[in-house]
This record gives sequence, C-alpha cells and structure tokens, in this order.
Amino acid sequence: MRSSRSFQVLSMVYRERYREPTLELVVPTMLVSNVFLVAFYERFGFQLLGVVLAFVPLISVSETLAFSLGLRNLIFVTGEHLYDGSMISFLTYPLRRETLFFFIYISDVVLPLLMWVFTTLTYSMLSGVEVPSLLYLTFVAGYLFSENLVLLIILLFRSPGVSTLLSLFLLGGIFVFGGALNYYQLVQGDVTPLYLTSFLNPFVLWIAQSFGKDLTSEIVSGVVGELALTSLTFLISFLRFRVMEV
Amino acid sequence: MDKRRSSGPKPRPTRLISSLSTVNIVILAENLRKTLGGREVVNLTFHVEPGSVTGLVGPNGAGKTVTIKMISGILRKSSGKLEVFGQDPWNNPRVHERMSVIFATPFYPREIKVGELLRDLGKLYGRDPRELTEEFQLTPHLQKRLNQLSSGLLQRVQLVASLMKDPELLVADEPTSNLDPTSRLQFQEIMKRLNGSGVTILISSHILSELERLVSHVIFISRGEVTFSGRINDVLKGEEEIHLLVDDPERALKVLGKGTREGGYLRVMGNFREIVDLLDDAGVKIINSRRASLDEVFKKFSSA
Repeated sequence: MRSSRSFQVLSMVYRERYREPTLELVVPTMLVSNVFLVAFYERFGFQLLGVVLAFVPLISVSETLAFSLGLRNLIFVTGEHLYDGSMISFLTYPLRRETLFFFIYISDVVLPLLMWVFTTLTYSMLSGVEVPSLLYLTFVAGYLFSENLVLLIILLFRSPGVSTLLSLFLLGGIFVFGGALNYYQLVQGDVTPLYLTSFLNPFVLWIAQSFGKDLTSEIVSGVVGELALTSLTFLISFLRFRVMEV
Repeated sequence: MDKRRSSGPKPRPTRLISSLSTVNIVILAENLRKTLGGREVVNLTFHVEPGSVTGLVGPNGAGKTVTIKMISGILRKSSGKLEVFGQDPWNNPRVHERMSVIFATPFYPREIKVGELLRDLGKLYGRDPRELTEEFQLTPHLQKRLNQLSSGLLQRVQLVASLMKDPELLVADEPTSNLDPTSRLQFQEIMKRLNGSGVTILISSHILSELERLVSHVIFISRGEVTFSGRINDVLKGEEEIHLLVDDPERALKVLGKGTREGGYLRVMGNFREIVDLLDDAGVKIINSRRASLDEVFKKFSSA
C-alpha cells in the first residue's frame, strides 16, 4: 500500500513535468538532432574532432535540449512550487521528505539525462559512429554538475527569477571563462594546472586531444572533479530539502 | 493536604496537560516554541480533544498560521512538545495520512486541472472522486485549471481534495477569509456535517460570529501565547455585556438600576437570564437582544 502511494506521488510529480506534448516533442527532436554527429564526423574526415565538436554543449542540440529540460523542470516547476508555496501540497502527502526529494530529483534531473543517453546511444549505434565512453561521461558529469548547482541555488533562493539569473551568470561564467582559462594554459604549453581547471570546461581539452595531444588523464581529473562537486551540491540540496520550511 | 497544596508552587498548565491521557488528545502542545528570524513567535500550551471543533482565535500576528503550519508539519518547532495523534507531525507520513489541511489560499500547482488533481488524489488515497465531485457540484468545472477558478470554487476544490483521504483531523487556517457570505454558510454547514461524522476540526478564523456558531472549544492566542483555552460555554458564561432593545428604555434602566443607553439600545452588564427575568417581571417588553459574543471576548483576551 505504501509503495503504491509513493508511486502515485512519483506519477504526479512526473506528469506535472512531462505533460503532453513535452515528451512527444523532445524525444524525437533529441534523436534527430544527433544528425550533427554524422555531419561533423564526415566533415572532419572521420576524425575524433567531428565527434567531439558534435558533443560540445550548445553546438549539440540534443545536449542543449536535455539541459534546457532539466533547467525548466528545476527552475520553473520546482522553483515555482517553492516560490508560490505550492510545495506545501506535496509536503502534506503521506510520504517522507527524503522520498519526495528523490522523486523530484529523478523527474527534474535524471529523466532528461536518460532521454539524452537513450537517444544519443541509439543514434550512435544506428549510424555506426563510435563515441568514446569518456566523452559520454564528460557530458554526463557536466550536466549533473550544472543541474545540481541550479537545484542548490533554487533551494537557497526559492525564486525562479533570481535562480535563472544566478544560474545564467554562474554556469555561463564557468563555461566561458573556464574554457578561456583552459585554452590559455594549452596555448602556454603548461598542462599541469589543467588537472585542477579542466572541470571548468573539459571540452576545450577534448578538442586539443582530437588534434593529437594526449590529455586523457587531465580530462579524467576534470570529470572526477565535476562528479565530486556534483555529489557535494546534491548532498547539501538533500539536507536543505529535509529541513526546509515553506 | 489542602494547606500543603496551597503553600506549594502553583502548577504550570503543562503539568495539567501532562496528567491528561494523551490517548484521548488529538493535538497536544506543551511549551511549543517557534523562533523565526531570531524572534520567538509562539510559546503555546494547549490541547485539542477528539470530536471537537476548536477555534484558534487571535489578532493578526498572534501566531495562528505559524501554529497551524507546525501542526501540519510544514514548519518545524524550535522547542517544546507537539504531538498530533501522539506523534511529532514533522516529516511524518503517518500523521499526514490521518490529517488534512485547508489554507485560506489553496497551495496546489495552479496549472493543474481540477479533474486531474482530484483524479490523482483519488488514486493516491484509493477513493473514487466522482461522489465528492458531484456532492460539491464541481463536475462542470473539472476541465478548468485551478488558476481559472473563483475563490469560492477554489476553496471547494481544496475541501474536496482534503476529504479524499477521509481525515480524522481537519486543520483549517482562515478557510473562509476569501469567501462570500453564501459560500461561508455552505462551508460552515460542511464543517458541521464533518464534525457530526466524527472528524475533529481545528479552525482559525477572523470571522468570530461564524466561529461562534461552529466551535465547541476555543483557544485564544495573543502575542504568541495562549490567553484562554477551553469550552466555548466557559468563555461566554458569567457576567457579560448585553445589548437590549426594549419598548420603554427609561423604565428598564430604573428597574435594572444599571446600564447605559447606546442609540436605541441599552447596554447592560450582568447575567442574561437574571436581566430578562427582571424586565419581564416589570412588564418591560424586550424587542431584541444581543448577548456578548466572541467579538467582545476576543477584545478581552487579545489585550490580555
């Protein structure tokens, strides 16, 4: 009975975020927009650079869609619930806050990521273009890091407007200035600091790698750094949600 | 024995409550404190008996909503004891299963359709919503989004939503403050009916005349502290302020030997029954009378 009730709440949380025609629009678009994978791959003479460019966030429509969907869920559904108090209705359902947090997290963050993984893997398999698993992991770590940071911002500020602006500046700043910093270090030829800064924008390292530099360990360090920060922001968000008063 | 008792320290209300059987108490608050922004907002001791309709009364800022939110498990107590059905309501699904909460403004996502919300809640609590939907005349509105509804309809939706789980306790925070008089009367009737079927109700309201007709018990709070807690009969009994419209005011004043004229009415302090008997005996005809209401008591306990 209890698990059935929990499932009903999960179903309510899910349906609120993925009403028709969200899935009907997003999933096929995600799948089809992976066309850049084959297009870039061919354009760059079947080199790694083609795959890497097709995976750079903002260039990749599929990644941008997953990222936007996650942000929309966090800021304009969960954030709105915290802002207008409608979170109260969820908090008075007969389930523990910890469970509710996981349901919200799964619907807001995990599902868009699963959609991206599913569509990209499908496209890669069907097209025969091999994508390095570390490249997948790089986007997954970056996605989780960004979304968890936004989740924390929302739980701290409880305002969709403030969260949008803050997320925009913070994530944009990390991506752009982090990328510039990594690029500067690559140009200078000093790769040691990249172990520390690669997490800011590991795609710059991926591009350098596709031109022949071996930066695998620096990229791995960046991915690990992002996952560590992801775990930290997730934990803080979880603890914050547990004691949150509305 | 009596001597010893009187010479000893005066027992605190908390001790009195502790001696009560908590099994027979739906809500128990002992030295319940809540601090917000470094300031203590409430420090309360009271209890709510099963089957009662208890009014939580107090001026703005007295701490009613904070109290109700703590009982609902939305705010966490800072210290003291708070039990609903013998358990701490904070993050407690077992309490939420048995309790429903109604707010002045419903806290449901506004984009959701009425039918969708009630269907979801029906599935959650294993109940077919159609019966309640029909009973509360919501069927024509099922396709409307919550943000398209009037305050009265919205409150009706909230009421139906809260009844979906067949609650044993209904907690309502100023539920009629946004309603027109007709909807208020309907709401009152529903509350009476629910209470008749055994639901314990804790209701806060500013519309005291409305509470007066509904509540069996009352808790007055002022500046975050309980100034009176008990049966409504106890709060209204004894010497009270009575307003009388009589056919011969001059004679009535002479007969009673006290009182003042206020417009066409006489204002007299005393026991209602005794005053009426005196005037009857003297042949003074009472055209209209108004006894002390919760409004007067409210003023008294608010300034306490």
